[in-house]
Amino acid sequence: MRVLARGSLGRYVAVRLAATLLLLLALSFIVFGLLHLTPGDPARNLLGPKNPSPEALEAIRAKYNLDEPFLRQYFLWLGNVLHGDFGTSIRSDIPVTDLLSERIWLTFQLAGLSFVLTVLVGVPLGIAAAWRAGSTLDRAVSVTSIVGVGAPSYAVGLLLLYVFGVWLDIFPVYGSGDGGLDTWWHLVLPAITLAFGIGALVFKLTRTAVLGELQQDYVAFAYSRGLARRQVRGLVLRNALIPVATSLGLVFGFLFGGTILVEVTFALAGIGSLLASSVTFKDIPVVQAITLLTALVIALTALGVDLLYYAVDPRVRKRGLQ
Amino acid sequence: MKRIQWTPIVAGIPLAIVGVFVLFSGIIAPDATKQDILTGVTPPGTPGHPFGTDQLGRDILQLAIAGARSAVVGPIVIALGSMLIGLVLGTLAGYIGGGLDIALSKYADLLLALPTTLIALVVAGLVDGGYWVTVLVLTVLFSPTDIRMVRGAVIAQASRPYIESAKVLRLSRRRIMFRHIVPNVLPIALTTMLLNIAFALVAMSALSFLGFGVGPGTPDWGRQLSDGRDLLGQNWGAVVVPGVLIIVTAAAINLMGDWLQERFDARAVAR
Amino acid sequence: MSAPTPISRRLVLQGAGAGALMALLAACGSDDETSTTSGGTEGTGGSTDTTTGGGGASAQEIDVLTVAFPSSVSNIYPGQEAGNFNYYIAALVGEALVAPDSTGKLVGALAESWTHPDPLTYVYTIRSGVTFSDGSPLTVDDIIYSVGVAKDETLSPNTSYYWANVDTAEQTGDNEVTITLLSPDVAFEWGPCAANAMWVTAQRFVDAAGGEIGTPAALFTGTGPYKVTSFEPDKGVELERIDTYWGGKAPVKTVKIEFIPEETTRILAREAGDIDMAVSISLDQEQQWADTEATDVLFAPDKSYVGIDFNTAVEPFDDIHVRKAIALACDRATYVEKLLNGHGEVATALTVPEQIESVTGDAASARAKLAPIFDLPYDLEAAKAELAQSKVPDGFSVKVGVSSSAPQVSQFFQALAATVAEIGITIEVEEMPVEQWYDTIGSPDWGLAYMWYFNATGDPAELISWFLAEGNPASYTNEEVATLLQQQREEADPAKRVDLIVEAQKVAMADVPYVPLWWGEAATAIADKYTIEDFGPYTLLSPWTTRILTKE
Repeated sequence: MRVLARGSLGRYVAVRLAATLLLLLALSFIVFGLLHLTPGDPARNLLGPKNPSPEALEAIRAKYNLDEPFLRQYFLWLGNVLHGDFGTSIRSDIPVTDLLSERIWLTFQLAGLSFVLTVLVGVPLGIAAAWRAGSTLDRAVSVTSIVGVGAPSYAVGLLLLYVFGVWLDIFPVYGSGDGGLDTWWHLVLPAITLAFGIGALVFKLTRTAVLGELQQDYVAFAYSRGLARRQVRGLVLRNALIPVATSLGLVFGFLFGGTILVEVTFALAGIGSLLASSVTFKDIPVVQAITLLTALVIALTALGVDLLYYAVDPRVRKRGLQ
Repeated sequence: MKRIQWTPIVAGIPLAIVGVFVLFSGIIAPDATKQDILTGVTPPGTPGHPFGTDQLGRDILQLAIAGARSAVVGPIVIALGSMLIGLVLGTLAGYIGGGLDIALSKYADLLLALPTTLIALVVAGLVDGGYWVTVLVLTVLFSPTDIRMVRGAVIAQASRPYIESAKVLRLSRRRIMFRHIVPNVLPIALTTMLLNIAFALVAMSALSFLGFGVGPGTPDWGRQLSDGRDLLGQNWGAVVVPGVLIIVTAAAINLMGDWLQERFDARAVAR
Repeated sequence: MSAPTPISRRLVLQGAGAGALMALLAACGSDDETSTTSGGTEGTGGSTDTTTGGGGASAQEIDVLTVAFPSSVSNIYPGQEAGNFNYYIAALVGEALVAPDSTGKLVGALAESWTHPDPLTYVYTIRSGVTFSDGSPLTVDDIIYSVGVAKDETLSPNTSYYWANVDTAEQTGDNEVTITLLSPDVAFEWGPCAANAMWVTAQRFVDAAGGEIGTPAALFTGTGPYKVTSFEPDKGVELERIDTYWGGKAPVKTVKIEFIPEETTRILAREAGDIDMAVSISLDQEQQWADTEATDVLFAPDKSYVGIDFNTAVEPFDDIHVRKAIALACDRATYVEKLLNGHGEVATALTVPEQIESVTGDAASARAKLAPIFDLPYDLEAAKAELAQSKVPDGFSVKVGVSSSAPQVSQFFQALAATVAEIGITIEVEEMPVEQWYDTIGSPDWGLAYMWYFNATGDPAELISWFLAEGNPASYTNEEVATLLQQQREEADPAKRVDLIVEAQKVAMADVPYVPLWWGEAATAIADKYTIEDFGPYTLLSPWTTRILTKE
């Protein structure tokens, strides 16, 4: 087993980061293009179904460079971004960076809490169920997870709201509270809702992965060689957790980009709901910024997952990072 | 004596019923889209309408029966298509590695990073919306997950002894990939695919909420669920019927998938 | 789902509804309540509806009133974002020269009185003793500055067109401002009104905010009974009472407005007692609201108009027989009863009755006045006959675009589609986000369309100054109508003006460029220990928290 020199690990990370930047650039161009192709006019959207005067439309268009040709608009935007200026939201006239800064933290907290719940519940249960496959525990949790996958998240959210927010009156019904610990408290129900469906998925994948490993030759081989159960478990888990780790990496990205329904149900001002309304409004600067941000988060988690591979899986280390 | 396998029965019955709905909705539910606005909304138990009607007087149960087709066929296509893409591209990426791997991984990352709302909106707007457009869009959007998953599983397989021996035997790369690795990756691929059907079902119903997919009034569970929310106070059936159908179908698919997967593994599982 | 309002920018995300598990909620919800009246009087006519609920009510001190709005605003100055909810917030903070009373008649606000000496001139006497929320006095300079702000297309893009006809605004006395128009237009009276197009502030406030108005950083400093202490888009707005307000101390000390997009969450919040009041609740859910513990539902007409638009420049809608055929196929009474649960009225004109009540005297006479404008009955046989005379006697196919935040309109078109299918017309309903729907207004790609319009003012010519004037969405031109429009613009006598407006619509509607469908109602839920004085179509556009009374 050849251990790579430190230098090339650093180089690997650098190359990946460069690739990520290129990815973001390509993404920004695609999103920009897609937005342009969508029917709708942000200037018109600002004025609503009243009779828009040509002067008013002109004024808005000029303010946001909407009357420039497509490529010119893109490069104007890109130029500003490289200076750290993400522009101003067309819909609300607030600098995009201000608009995002508080909201992204909230979504991050929500996704993070969900992620922790998903992992803390899904993975151990999956391992336990696989280890004791066919037992009552296994059956019970499996059935619950099956329902969990199918239940629409808004239904789960509203049910939790009713039971814990109204009837038992433990958790707040909506909103994100007053910051700090109060906000985390407000995020408990939304996080559980979000984690419900994904947790079921993680549970199943973990269970399948562990089961798959348990059936491998080396397990029987190891036992016959006299290895203790605990040691075998260690081996099995190490191998099984590789596909699980891939999934987990994707799970966080999915959670981060998929908070929208929960945000709307619980009246949370996160970036999910902002993205949806900005898209239909064609609030170009906001959509660009959020998309890039989400992509960055996803790319970084993917990088993290691959580094995890490297740390955990000797086979990858042997193959070398590419 | 062989024990009766309950799982396929419990899972199979709802699936069979849904299958009947899909194939024979024209005969069982001929009046699904018939309106009767003067009757308006009625609660479950109204004579002639076991689960009541919606604002336009359409029978909830018949609408749901007719809606099975649209609710189920699309997700199956999505899951199948996505897994096919995943198997091909994921195996190539995982086994061959190198530049191809990087390119495919980047492509997968790019797709994953695109906001679903945006894509659905744009495509719906350009190509005049519609059901199959949504199916296509979701297939493309589901594929990166499958690609990554397959890639990971293939990487894990690639250094196994049997692959080493295949290489020693100088079997062609294509043969190794598709005749040896893929079959060993199939179990986890199958589980994922079945889960994907369930996810696609829920995803398509979620997209129906945002107005994509089928047009208003077309029988479809997601659409019905969305339309039914406003009627909750007057007719709970409008929500319960499509909702239960979605959950039960998704659950049955999962259950069936798990059971099939356990049968694929010839080796005993008990410990 | 959230209340539909096309002027609101927010996409109505219907995603967070209920699944099968909601049945549990519905059942539990109707269990244990003490009985609550379901709604006040029906809002058919008359803008002085008050809720039932026994006994007297008086203006007692309320420490905090928490109100839920179904969607968020991103700017509290309606000149920048002119949705209903922006107006409701601004009404608490800003004022202008005049304001509507509860019957829609204009009375003085920051102007004690005003005169109209000649068709081009309005002279306002400014009230003394008025202060801004920071205590500084209101001066005539501030009024003149505010006219400038209202006219400015970058500062007030949504409302500046109301001021396009204004030539100058000058100080002509110690407490006097004179505004001169470029051409006579009686509708201008509604311009300097916080329910419409002007909110008075001072230059130093706007300058201090770097030239911005209404943003979370800049806020809005006005002369109203409240000042904004915090504004977080997508979260909420908090307001504190100004004890020195010239109109007296309001009963509510702190107003907390919370943005809660999902209707069911709002209901649950009310159930838990976390909110006291919810505006613009959806008509479909009104029974659920009424069933919520300790909650009343108030209804009032909301001055909205819903109707079909034909683009007469697009085939086959250039043929009057086709338009008539479709008009005759509309069973408007049934739609109101079934699709709106009776909360609405069959419309007979582009003007809503609340805009002429103060002139004709009462609700009934207003409706009587508007009744002859459009009176085609529901008659499918006649529709068939009309179609037979048209150039497409065998029928045709058409698409109509409906905003996803207008479910009742979508249902209407589906019902209409089923009806006209019998005479050979196929209507396909296409749903789209509200922002895309704006594009279909007047577009040549959409021959069949609809309009859902919220009248901002009490001016009876508000909608027709768009819909019957040049460049209207129906591509409709008519010399006689144009003349009548011009005449009403110049007619100073209100009664004669209303007659001209009615005449103009009568002439136009004979050609059926539009089919009026219904005038709408809005519903507000409130804790049953409170009531709102004189609740009507203009209430929320005025300082509404000053009218919250506590029941004995």
